[in-house]
Amino acid sequence: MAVEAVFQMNDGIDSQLYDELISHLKRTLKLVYPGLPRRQSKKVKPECKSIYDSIVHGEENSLWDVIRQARKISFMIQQVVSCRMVVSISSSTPDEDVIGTLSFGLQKILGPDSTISLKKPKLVTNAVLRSHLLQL
Amino acid sequence: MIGKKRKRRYTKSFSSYRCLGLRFYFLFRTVDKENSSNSESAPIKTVKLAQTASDLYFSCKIDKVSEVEIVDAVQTINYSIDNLITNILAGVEEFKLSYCKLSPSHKNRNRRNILQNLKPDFKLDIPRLQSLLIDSPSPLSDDMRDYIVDLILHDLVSSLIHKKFFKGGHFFGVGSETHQEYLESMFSKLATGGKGFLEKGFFWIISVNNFLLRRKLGSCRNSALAFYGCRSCIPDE
Repeated sequence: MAVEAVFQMNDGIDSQLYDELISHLKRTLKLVYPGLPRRQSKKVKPECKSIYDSIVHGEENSLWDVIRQARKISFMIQQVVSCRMVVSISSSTPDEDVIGTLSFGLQKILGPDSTISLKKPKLVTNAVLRSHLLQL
Repeated sequence: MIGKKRKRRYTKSFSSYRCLGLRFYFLFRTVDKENSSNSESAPIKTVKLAQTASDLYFSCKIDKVSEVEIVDAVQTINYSIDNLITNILAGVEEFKLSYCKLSPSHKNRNRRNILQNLKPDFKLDIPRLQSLLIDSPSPLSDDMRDYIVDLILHDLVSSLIHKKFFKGGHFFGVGSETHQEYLESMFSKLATGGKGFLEKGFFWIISVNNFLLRRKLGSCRNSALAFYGCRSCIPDE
């Protein structure tokens, strides 16, 4: 019974994140590729309302895989008792020049003012974006 | 990024719950053994998600992880997110959701618009990039859009996962934001009171958390806390 209770709690958080990811991804695709016909192709699955649904729901297993990996890491980073690990993204590193995050980083906090970067997050800054767009 | 669909690497499922250092973990694998024993080139066709705790396979090896393993895990999730977005963009290509084709004159005009937005004193961010994609007076070129869409999707997925699992001081991945903020605030107040105060306050935190969980899970409360070894902390009702 207790195991079932914990399982339900975990499952609730995972499902919530899954729903948020699905809806945000669909909304973003809809924004980026607007004005498409509702059913453009026969490839759209019958249970999907639109092409966007079909594209995102095609990656359900990958999404669950990513979510469970994240949960695993969130558990793992509390196992090191002598220090604290932090998974970092752009919003956790205050820098006005940063636009967005391409990948997670990992920091080891040894004390109030002592931090070691085990893996740097891959960030996109204004300067990087400018140089990239200028090359296109 | 677009065009090549990478093969999915593995299908592990994890579940855990933690609160104030008292945590739980169980690892389960539900991949069909027959599929996993096939050759590497054979795609995994059936991945069953565990429906109940009885489906789980317990392992406590994760309690003894090293820093290297955590770094590897972060690299793996970064790779998986890349994979996910690559597949989504491949789906976009599969459905032929192409952008409007631009004439050379449009491309030049568009390039000038972009360059104006890229002046050194102009700070770009994700909302600005989205508006650049949507509200640009002339359509952007395919390469520009691909790059920006890739960035937006990566940032979206990373931010949501970070917010859910990694944001917070001591409590994260344990419930709603309000729940976490409340516990964080209470913990910081208790922590400033010294060690003895914290030890007394620990009971209060368990009680508050217990109350919040009870609302969510009803009769499962006692069982869940008992599993943390906190049965003695549960006040009689």
